[in-house]
Amino acid sequence: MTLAAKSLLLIAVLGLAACNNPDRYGVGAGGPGGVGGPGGAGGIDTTGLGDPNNPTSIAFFNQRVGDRVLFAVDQSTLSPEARSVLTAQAGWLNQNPGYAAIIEGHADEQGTREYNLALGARRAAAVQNFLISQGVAANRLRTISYGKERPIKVCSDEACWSQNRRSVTVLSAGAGV
Amino acid sequence: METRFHTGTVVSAIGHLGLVLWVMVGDWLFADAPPDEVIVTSVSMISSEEFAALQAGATPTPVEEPAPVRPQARPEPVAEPPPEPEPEPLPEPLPEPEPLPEPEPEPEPEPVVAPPPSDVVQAEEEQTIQSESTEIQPTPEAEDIVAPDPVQPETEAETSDAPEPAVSEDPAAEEVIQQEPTEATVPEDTGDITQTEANVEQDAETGMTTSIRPRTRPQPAPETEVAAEEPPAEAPAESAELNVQPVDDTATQDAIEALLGEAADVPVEEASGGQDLPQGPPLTGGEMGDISSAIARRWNLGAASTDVLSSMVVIRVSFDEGGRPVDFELLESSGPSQAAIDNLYSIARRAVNRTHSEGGIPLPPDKFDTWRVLDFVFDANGMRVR
Amino acid sequence: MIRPMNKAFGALLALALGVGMLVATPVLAQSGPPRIVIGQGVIEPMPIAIPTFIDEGGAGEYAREISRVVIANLEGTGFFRNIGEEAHISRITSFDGGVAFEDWKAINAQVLVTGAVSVSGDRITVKFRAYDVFNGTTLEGAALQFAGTTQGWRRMAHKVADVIYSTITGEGAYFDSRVVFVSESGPKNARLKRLAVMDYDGANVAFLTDSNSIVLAPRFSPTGDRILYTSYETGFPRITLMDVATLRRQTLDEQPGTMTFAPRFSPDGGTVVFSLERGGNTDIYSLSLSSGQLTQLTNAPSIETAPSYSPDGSQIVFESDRTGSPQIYVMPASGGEGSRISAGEGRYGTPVWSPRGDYIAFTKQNAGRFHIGVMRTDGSEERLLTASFLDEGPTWAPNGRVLMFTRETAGADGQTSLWSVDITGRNLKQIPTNGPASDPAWSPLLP
Repeated sequence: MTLAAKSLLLIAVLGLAACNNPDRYGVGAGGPGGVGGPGGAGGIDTTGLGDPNNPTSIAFFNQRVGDRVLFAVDQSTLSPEARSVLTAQAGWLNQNPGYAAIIEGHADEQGTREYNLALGARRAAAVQNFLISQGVAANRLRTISYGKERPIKVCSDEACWSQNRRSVTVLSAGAGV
Repeated sequence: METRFHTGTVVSAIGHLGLVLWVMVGDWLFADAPPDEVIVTSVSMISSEEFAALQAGATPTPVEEPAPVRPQARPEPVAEPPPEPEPEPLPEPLPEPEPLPEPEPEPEPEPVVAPPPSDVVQAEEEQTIQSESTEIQPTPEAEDIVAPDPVQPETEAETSDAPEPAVSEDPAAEEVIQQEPTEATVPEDTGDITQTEANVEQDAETGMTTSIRPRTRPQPAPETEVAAEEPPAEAPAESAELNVQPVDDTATQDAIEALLGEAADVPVEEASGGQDLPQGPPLTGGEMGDISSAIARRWNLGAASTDVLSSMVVIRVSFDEGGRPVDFELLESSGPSQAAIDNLYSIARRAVNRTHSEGGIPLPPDKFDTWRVLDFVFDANGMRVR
Repeated sequence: MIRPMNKAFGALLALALGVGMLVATPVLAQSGPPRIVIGQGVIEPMPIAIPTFIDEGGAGEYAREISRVVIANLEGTGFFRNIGEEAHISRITSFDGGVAFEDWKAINAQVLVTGAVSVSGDRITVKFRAYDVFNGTTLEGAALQFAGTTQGWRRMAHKVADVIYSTITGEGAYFDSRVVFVSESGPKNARLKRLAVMDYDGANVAFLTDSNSIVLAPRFSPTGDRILYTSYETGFPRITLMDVATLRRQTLDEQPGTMTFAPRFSPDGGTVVFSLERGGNTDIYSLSLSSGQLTQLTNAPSIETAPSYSPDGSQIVFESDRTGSPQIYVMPASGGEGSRISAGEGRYGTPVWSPRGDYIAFTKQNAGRFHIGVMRTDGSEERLLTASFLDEGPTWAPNGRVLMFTRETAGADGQTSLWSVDITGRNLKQIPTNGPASDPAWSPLLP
């Protein structure tokens, strides 16, 4: 993961600490270091994510388990790789019941705006359904779609597009959202 | 017994045969009867008008036919305002538009007194004069006045020859006349239907130079609208169809002569008095192509609505000796709305006028009789617009 | 027994004459003036002359600015070309004075527009007259006067240009209108978006929201007083209704576990049609603004979105991927299966019904390219008007003749901008905005 993406993720997770506003991309909306968040205002507090070597930390989940799965063009079906990652996610979530998750769905820029919103939602729902089928309690999960609004890679070819066609499971402390 | 039976059979057979023959033949004869009566009445109508026209001085007109003095010959027939040929476009339009601009500034301040909540006053729109066509309104009327006049001497020449033969030829002329009204109606219409007030009003309303002529052809809606506006003119139109006869009688005579073995092209030459029969040598393909491309270059649809781009008009243009377009007439049209047709008609007229004023239309000087009247098809459908 | 014989002879004579007529008629039928077909015409801007409007008292800069806006509107259509004042032979010195048409004919102006402006306090009066130069006549309906406050001077210039435009071309007016859009800033992976409105030509921009949350795809109400859009302000995509004058807004239909987006007004302004997502499936619903009643209009396991009403409110065109890729369907406004109208290769989306009711504009993706296109309401006569890396989201001008859409460039530095194009595909040009902009929606013609 690039530094930019890491920073973005950290800031986003801090923002997510106010778990009643899952829009972690909203500037100032429940903002980073805002209401009851683990991080200080404007600062990046790594203690929130925890030590990646600590199997119960969010950092471990993000880096070792894998917080995202990728999709083929126009598809929301889960590839075998995606299934194995999601199985591990479900396992972790089942062992760490103190966390809830927002499942984000994204699409690449090769589509119209509103259709991509729906496509992202479909992808997020596919992940959610799989996690539930693996025993994760439904009330711990919520979905949101960003369509093509929040790419993580900005070049305009398949190398970037394939990275943008993703679903990200974003953890937050608290058993329910 | 046997002989009597035999005779009876023969008589019966002859009677039956005769009956059958009579039935077969009777169809032809019966079919002819109604035209008989109609022809007679129309001929009499023609005659009265003809004689009036003849009295107006038809005798010298045959001489004038070939002479290109037509514009000056106008005062003789029933022209209304004897137009000064050259300054036509200027003096004639002036009296009409002047009233338009003048009233406009004066009433304008009145609606201003009541400005609506929005910062814009819209009442002014009521001041405007209702008309479909916004351009070239006066000019066509000038041209209309011009148009019938050149024709009249010719038709009068024809009719002056024809009245007697027309009457005598009636029974024989029936069939010919029935078949030809659409063709020779044209000259006859202009000959008989001078620029009456009805026509002037009609042109003022529609802004188009639609004379009676087009109504006799199968026309789409626009033409029928025109027809609806002019019921009184319809009567002369109907009779005009049959008024064809004097001209056609000449043609009929020729047709009969043709049957008797004369050259088939005689009718064409004899009936050349008709306006729509080319008199001179035909235009070559190259000459027509030159005319077409010269006008096409000035046929600008760059500011046309999408409706206009789905419309088509066929216009009939009459030229004077100098190749100047002096009369326009809308022959055929089609389009999604009357406004679109009007717009395309004015665009087409502008194209012809501009071609003349910007270097002239390439009309070969030696073929004036051929291009004296030309029909132009302006079909905007499917035109490449990029 | 003799009578039948005479009649037979008469019949034979008639028959002979009939034959003779048949022989003669073709010869005569060929007569008539030569018929010349004028083939391909030209598409050129009409040369017009619009000398600066005369200052009839206190007008100062207004006369000049109004003239400039009128000229810019007309030239901006691609239909007209203004002949600059340096080429004019005679001058218009008084509004009611005579016009030397020969001088304007000499510079080949087909239309001449004269105007005058006067200002008194905060009241401004604008009057104008348009002439057909060739015939020396005033164009029918194109001699008017507008009055109002000086604050609305620009709208008056739009109205003047609208009258001239529609009188000459026969098309409906559209200059006096606004466009709501999304103003963008920031890098491609962290775009900041806020709602804004502007005159259709890019002037008079006003912001309606801040950049704190993502806003998408706004739409005007039929009277231009309200806006519907999708907002992430609550944390999830939700359809939001905003009053343009007060900027007060409210989220519509908040149901937990759902997302709502793609809201549009019905032609009577009383119903909102939109997409509602639940459990991964997206369908089209309608919401009555007065009663709050929610009605499901489509019921399919596929994505149904981007609905758009027909101008008479009887039908809805929308986008669905029920066949596997997004295509365009039409259904009754009360809902239903819908029948497909898109027919070509590729993916079709964002259908919008023309205000004239005759065309549906759309976004098409094929072979790696995006296009803005139009098709008849039954899907026939499909024509693509643009092609680029990414064109999407067309919106119709009030006269159904011009489309505005979003164009985005490729790459990490890719940015969005607003473009417009004529329905014939001509006159593709960018709308000037202060920075990147997307998701335009045209208002109705302002009253």
